[in-house]
Amino acid sequence: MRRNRFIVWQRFFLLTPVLLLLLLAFALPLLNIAPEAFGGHAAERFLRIFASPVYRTVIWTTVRISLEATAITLVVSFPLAWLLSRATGIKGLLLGLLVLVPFLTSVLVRTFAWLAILGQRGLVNATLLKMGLISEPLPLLFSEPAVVLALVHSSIPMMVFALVSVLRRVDGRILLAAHTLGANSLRAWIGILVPLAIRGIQSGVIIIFLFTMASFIAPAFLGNQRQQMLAQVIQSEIETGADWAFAAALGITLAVTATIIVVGFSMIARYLSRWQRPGTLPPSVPQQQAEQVDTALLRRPAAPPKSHLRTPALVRFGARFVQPAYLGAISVFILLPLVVLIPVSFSSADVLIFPPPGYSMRWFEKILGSQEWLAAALTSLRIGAATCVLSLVLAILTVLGFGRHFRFQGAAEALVLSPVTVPSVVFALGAYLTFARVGLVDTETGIIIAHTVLIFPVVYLVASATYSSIDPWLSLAAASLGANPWRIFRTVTFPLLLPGLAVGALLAMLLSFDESVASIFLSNLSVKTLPRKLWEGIRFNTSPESAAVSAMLLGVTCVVVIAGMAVVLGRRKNLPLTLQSAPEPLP
Amino acid sequence: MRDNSLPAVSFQGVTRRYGLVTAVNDVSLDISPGEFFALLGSSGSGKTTLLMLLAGFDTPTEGRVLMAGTSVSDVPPHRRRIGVVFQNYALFPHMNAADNVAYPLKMRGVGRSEREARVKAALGLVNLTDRWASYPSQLSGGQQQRVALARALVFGPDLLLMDEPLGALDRRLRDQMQQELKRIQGELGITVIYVTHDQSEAMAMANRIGIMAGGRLLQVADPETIYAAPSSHFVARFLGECSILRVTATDGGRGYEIVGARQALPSPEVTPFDIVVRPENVSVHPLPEAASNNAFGVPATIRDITYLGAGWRVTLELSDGQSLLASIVRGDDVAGYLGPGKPVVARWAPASVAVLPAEGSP
Repeated sequence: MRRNRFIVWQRFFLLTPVLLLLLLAFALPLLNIAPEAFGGHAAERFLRIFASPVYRTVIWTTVRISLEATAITLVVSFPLAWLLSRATGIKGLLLGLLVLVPFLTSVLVRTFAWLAILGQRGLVNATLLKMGLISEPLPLLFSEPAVVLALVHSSIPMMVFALVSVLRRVDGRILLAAHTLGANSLRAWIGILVPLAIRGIQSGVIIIFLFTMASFIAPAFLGNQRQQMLAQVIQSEIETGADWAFAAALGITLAVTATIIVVGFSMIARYLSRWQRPGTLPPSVPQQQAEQVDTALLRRPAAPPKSHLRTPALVRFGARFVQPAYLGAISVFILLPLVVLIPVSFSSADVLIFPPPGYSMRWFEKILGSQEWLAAALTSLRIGAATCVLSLVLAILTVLGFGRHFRFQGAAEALVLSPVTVPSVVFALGAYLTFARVGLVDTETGIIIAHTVLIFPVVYLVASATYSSIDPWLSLAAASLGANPWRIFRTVTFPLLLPGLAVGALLAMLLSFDESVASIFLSNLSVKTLPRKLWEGIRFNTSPESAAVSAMLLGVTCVVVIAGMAVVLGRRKNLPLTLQSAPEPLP
Repeated sequence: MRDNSLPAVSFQGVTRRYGLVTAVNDVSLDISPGEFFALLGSSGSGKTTLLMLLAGFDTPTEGRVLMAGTSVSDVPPHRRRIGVVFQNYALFPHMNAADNVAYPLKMRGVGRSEREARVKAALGLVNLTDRWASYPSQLSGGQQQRVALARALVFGPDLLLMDEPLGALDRRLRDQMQQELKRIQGELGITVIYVTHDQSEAMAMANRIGIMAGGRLLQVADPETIYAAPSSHFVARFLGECSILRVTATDGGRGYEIVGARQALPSPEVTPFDIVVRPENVSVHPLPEAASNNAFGVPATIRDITYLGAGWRVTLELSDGQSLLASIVRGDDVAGYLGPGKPVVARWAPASVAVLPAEGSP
C-alpha cells in the first residue's frame, strides 16, 4: 500500500514538467484560437470565408491538392516500404538512408530544389530542349502538378516509416502461400498485402494528409498564386499582420476540415480492418455423423489460373526488371532534388539556371562573408541546442514516469504525441496568437518553446523504444545486488538508454535546425533563424545564394546522419542484443 | 488425366548454389503418383530449398525438375498446380476459414456454385464444416492446420507439399493429425511430399523416406529398410538410437570378431566394415551362463541404467572401450544382475546386424 502510494507520487513528479509544457505551450495556444476567431463579429468573419467564392475555392483547392498528394504518396511509397521491410544488410542500409536523408532535410530546402528542376531554365526544360523534344520551355512551375510533386516528395519518407512498421510484422510466407494457391504477383499484393497493412496505411494517410493540408511552403514557392492553399493564406495574414481574428477563423476552418476528412479516413479504415476485431465465435455445432464428402469433386483439378498474356515466359522475363526499374525511378525522384542543389550552388550565374553556365565559389563566399547569414546560423544553433536539451530531459522524465506498468499508457502516450497529430500550421498560429500576448513572439525563447513542443514527442518515441528493449529483469538484478532506485538508474538504466538518447539528441538538434513552420510564424525582425532567412531569401529572389545555403544545410544533415549511424552501428557491435530482441516481460 | 507410368515428380541432378554455399547438391529423385514421400533432415540440410525449387520460388543452378514428365522451369509458382501447406500455415488473417479455402478457386475463376461445393467438400474432408465462419485468430493450432490443408487441396492439385506442417502442434494433437493426414491422402489418392525433421513422424506416415544432409540426398528407401539397413553412419545415427561398433572382419567378410566373440553374417560384405546394432536387438545376460558358452556373447560392464517406464536403457562398456546401448523390456528377469559396474554378456542375432562401410574408408 505504502509502496503503491510512493510510486504514484514518483510518477506524478516525473510527469509534471511534461504536463505543464503540453498544457501551457500546446493546449493553451490551440484553445486560444477559438476566442480569437469567435470574438466579436464572428458571424461576419465566417460568412466572409464560406460565402465568398474566393475562400470556398481556397478550401476546395487545399482539400483537392492534399488528397491528390496523399493518394500518390501512398501508391509510390508502398512498394518501397515493402522492399525496405524485407531488406537486410547493405541493401537495407542503403534503402534506409534513401528514406532517412530526405526526411531529415529541411522541407524548405527540398521544396526550393524543385525551382531549379522545374523552372523556365531548370533541369527538365534544359534537358528537353537539348534533346530537341520541345522548342519552347514548358511552363512547369507555378502550377498544381508542381505543388503536388513537391508535396509527394516531402511526404514519401513519413509514409514509408508508417508503412514499414506494419509491413515488418507481415510474415513473408503469406505471399508465397498466395502464389501457390494461384495468385499472380499483382493479385497477391492487392488481395493480401494491402489488407494486412491497413493499419500502416491508415496512419500514413492521416499523417500525410494533415501534413499536406498544413503546408504553405510548397504552394508559396511552386504554386499558382491565384490558386492558394489555406495554410498559405493564414501565413500571409499573420506575416502582413492584417487581421488576426480572420487568420484564427481560417485556422479553425482548416482544423475542422482536416478533422472531418481524417475522421472519414478512420471510419473507412475501421471498416476495412474489421477482421482484426472478429466478434464472438459463431456457435459451434458439435459435429454429428461425419457427412459424406464429395472426394470425387476434390480429385478433379479446378481450371488453371487464367493468364491474360499468352507468353508467360516473356512476362516472367519482363517481371525480373520491374523491381530494379521501380527502385531506380524512385531513387532518382527522391534524390534528384537533393543532388541538383550541389551544381546550382556552385553556379557563377546571378540567377537560378540549370545547368550553370560556369562554376565558382562566389555564393559560398558571399554567405560565409555575410553577417546576416552567420547570425542566422548561430541563432538556429542556439535554438537547436536548447531544444535538444529540453526535449531530452522531458523525454527521459516521460519514459521513466510511464515506467513499465502504466494502466493509462495508451491514453498518456496519445497525449504526449498529440503535438504531432495537429496540423503544424494550426499550432504555429495558436502559438503566435498566444505568445504575442506575453511578448514571446520574435524571441528565441518563444521559438525554443514551440520547437520543444513539436520535437520532444519524436525524442520520446526513440527513447521509449530503447527503454522497452532493456531487459526489465536487469533492474531487479541490480536491486537484489544492493542498488537503490537512483543508483539503478545511474548505473544500469541510463547507460543502456544512452544510445537511444544519443540518436534522439541528434534528431532533435536536426529537426529544430530545419524546422520551418513555427520558425516562420514566430520570428520576424530581431530573431532570424536560418530557415526564416532562407524563406525570405527564396521569396524575394531565387538566386544561387539560397541554393548554397540549402546545400550547406543538406551537408549538415548528411554529417549528422552519418554520426547517428556510427552511434547505432557501433553500439550494436558491442551489444548485439539490445536493439534486436524484445526482452521477456516481468510477470 | 494423370499418367501413372510417369513419376509425379522427378528431380534430375538438381543443384542450387547461393554464392559459395551449396544448399542442394546434385539431387536425383523420382516420386511415383500417389506416393507419400517424406523428406527427412535436420535444419539446414537443404530439404526446404528442395521444396522451394519444386514450388517454383527458386530455380535450380543446375539440373531440372519435372512434373509428370514435363519440365516446370518456365511455369511460375501460381500456375504449377501444387498445394503447399506451410510450417506456420500462412493463413490469410483477414479472411475467414471459408474465404481462405475459396481463395485458390477465386484465383482460378471457378464459378460460384462449384466454388461453394468444393469449399464445403474440402472443409468436410478436414472435419471443419461447422467453423467455416471463424477467422484464423479464432481457431486453435490444429484447426488452423486443417484450414491450411483444405485450402491446399480444394483446387485438386497434382501434388501436395507439406513443410513441417505439424511442428507447432503438441504431441497428442500431432498423433491425431498424422492419422488424419494418412486418411485424407488415402481418400484423395494424391501424391504427398512431406518435409520434416521428426523421424518418428516420417516413419509413421511415409511410403518412402529420403534422408538429406548437407544438401545431399543420402538414402531413399521405405521406412523398414532405412531403419534396418542404413547406408551410412549418418543415416544410422539420424534414425533412432543405435550403437555403431568397430569390428574386425573374418573369413574375407563372411563374419566378424568383436572383443573375442565371433559371429557369422548372413551374406559376405566388403571389408573393412562397421556394424550397427539397435538397442532393442541387444539382450543382456548374467555373466556365469554355463549353458551357452559356445554361443556368441560379448563381455561387457554396465556403466549406466536409465529407467524409462516401459523398461530400462542400459549403457554397456565393452572391454575395448566401445560403448553399446541395450534396451530391456520390463518383465525380463533382470532384477538380479542389473546394476552399475556389474559384468554381463551382451548378445544379438546376426540378422539384426546392419553392416556399414567403415568410417574413413572409401
